[in-house]
Amino acid sequence: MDLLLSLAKNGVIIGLLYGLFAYGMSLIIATSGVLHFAHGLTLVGSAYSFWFFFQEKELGVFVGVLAALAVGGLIGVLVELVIYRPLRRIHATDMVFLVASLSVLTLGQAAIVFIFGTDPKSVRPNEFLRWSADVGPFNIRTWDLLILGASALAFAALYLLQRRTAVGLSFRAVGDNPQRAETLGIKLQHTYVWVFLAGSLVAVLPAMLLAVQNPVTPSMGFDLLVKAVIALVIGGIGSMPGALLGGILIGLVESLATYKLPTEWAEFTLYALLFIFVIVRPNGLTKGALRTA
Amino acid sequence: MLSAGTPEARNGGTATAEPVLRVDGLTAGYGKHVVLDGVALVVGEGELVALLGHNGAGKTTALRSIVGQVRPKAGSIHLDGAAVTGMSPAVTAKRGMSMVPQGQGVFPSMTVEENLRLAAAVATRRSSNPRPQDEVRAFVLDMFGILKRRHKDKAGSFSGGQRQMLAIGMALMTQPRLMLLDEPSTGLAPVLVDEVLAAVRKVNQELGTSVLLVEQDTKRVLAVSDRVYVIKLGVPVFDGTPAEMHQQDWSQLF
Ligand SMILES: Nc1ncnc2c1ncn2[C@@H]1O[C@H](COP(=O)(O)OP(=O)(O)OP(=O)(O)O)[C@@H](O)[C@H]1O
Ligand SMILES: [Mg+2]
Repeated sequence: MDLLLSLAKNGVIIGLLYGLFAYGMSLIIATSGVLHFAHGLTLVGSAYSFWFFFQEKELGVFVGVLAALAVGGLIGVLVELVIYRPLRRIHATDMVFLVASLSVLTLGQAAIVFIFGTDPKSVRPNEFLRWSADVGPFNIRTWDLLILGASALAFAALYLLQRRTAVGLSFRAVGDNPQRAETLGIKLQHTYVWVFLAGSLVAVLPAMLLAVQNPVTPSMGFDLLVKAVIALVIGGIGSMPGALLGGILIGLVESLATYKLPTEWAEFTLYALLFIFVIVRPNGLTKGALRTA
Repeated sequence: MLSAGTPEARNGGTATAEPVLRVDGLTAGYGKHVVLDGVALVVGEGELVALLGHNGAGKTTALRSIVGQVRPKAGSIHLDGAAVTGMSPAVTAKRGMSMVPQGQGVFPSMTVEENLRLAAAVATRRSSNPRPQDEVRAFVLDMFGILKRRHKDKAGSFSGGQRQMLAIGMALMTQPRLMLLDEPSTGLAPVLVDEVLAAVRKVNQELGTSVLLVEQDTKRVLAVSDRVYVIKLGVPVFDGTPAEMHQQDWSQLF
C-alpha cells in the first residue's frame, strides 16, 4: 500500500512537470495556430544550457538558470521569426507548418548530438537537492517541493498574464480571431513573438527540473513532446486545467503502471491511455477540446 | 450629455478642416478580379455616412480596403488629411479607424468585460484619446444594458444582436476618429435593427464619432444618416442626402 501511495505521489509530481510543458506548448498553439512540435527543442536546448553552465562550467546556479532561460526563449522566438513567419507570409497549410516544426526538432537534436555527443549528461545533485524527509507514507525530496513551488508559481503567473495584462488578453484575442484583433490595433506579428517567448520560457522550468533529477539526453525533448501531445488530447488545447489534468493523469498512469508492469512498459500504458481517450472522449476532458489549429 | 470634441483642436488648429476620411479613385479587388472601380467618398467631422448597394456590390471590399485588409490597386485613402493608403489594419486602427466586421466583431472565448478591457487597453497607446476611458465605458454600459448585466459571461454565449452591441462597444472603447460598421443589423429581428441603428446614431451625436455605415436596409438607414453613397457592381452611382435619395428611382441604383 505504501508503495502504491509513493508511486502515486511521484506520478503527480512528474505529472505537474508534464502539465507545465504541455501548457506552454498549448499557449503557443492556441494563439498562433501552429502545432509547435519544435517546443521539444526548446526543452532540450535549455536543459543542455543549464547542464553546461551549471555543471560543466561550474558557473553557479544563477548563471545556469539565466542561460537556460535565454536559450529557451531564443529558440522559441527564432523558430517563429525564421521558420513560421515566412511560412505565414506564403499562406502555407497546417501540414507544412507541422512538417517544418518536426524538422526543426530533429535537426536541432542532431545538432546537439554533434556538439555534445549521445552520452547522457547529468547534473550532480548538491547537498540541497539530496535532502529528503519522510512525511507519513511519503518520502518528500527537495525536487518534489521545487516542482510544486515552480508549477504553482508558473500557473498562477500565466493565469494572471492572460486575464490581467493587455498582452495576455491579446494572446487570447488573436487565438479567437486574428483578423478582428488586427482591426482593434493588435499587431499580429508582435503578438506571435510574445507568445512564443512566453510559452518557451515556461518550458525552461521543466527543462531545468528534469535536468537535476534525470539524465540530460538529446531525445528528452521528443519524449516529453509525445507526453505533451497526449496531455493536450486528453485535456484540450488552450485550457489550463486541461493541460494540468492531462499532465497529472499521464504522470500517474506512467508511475502506477510500474507497480505491476516492468518499467519498460510505462510508455506503452501511455499509448493505451491515448488510444482509450481518442476512442471514448475524442474531445478531451475539458471543453477546451482538441480543435484544428 | 457628453460634448463632442472640437475638430479644430485635433487638427492642430488649421482653418481648412480636412474631412475625417477622404477616399479617391479607389480601385480594389481580389487577384485579377476587380471589385471596386473608382470609388470616391468623404466622411466629414461628426458625420454619419451610409454606404449602400446590392449584395456583392463591393461594400465590404470598400471597408476592407479603407482599413487595409485589402490592398488597393489604385486610388488614395486619407485619414484627417494624412495618407493611410495600403497601411496594415493594425496601423490604421492605431491611427483612429475602428472597423466592426460583419458578424464576427467579438472574441467568443473572452468575457464581455475582457472584450471591452482589451479594446480599451490596446487603444490607450494612442495619444489623442479625447476622453477618460471610464467615461466611454460608462457610456457604452449605459447604452447597452445587457453588457452591464452579463459582464462576466463569455461573449460566445451571446445572441447575434447582443454580440453586435458588444462589438460596437469594443469599437467605441478604442475611441476611434472613424467607426466603420459592416452591416451591424445582419440577422437581427426588425426591432433589434432599430435598436442597433438608434445606438449608432446616438454614438454619432453624443460622442461626436464619425461613422461610415454599410447596410442593406435602405429605408431604415436613410432615417439615421446625414449623407448616402450607393455603389453598384463596384461603381459609384449615387451620392447625396437622404432627401435627395428619396427623389431617385431606386430600381436604377440597386
Ligand atoms: N475574399 C474574396 N476573394 C475573392 N472574391 C471576393 C472575396 N470577397 C468578396 N469577393 C467578391 O467581391 C465582390 C464584392 O463582394 P463584397 O463582399 O465586397 O460585397 P458586399 O457589397 O459587401 O455584399 P454583401 O451585401 O453580400 O455583403 C463579390 O463579387 C464577391 O464575390
Ligand atoms: Mg458585405
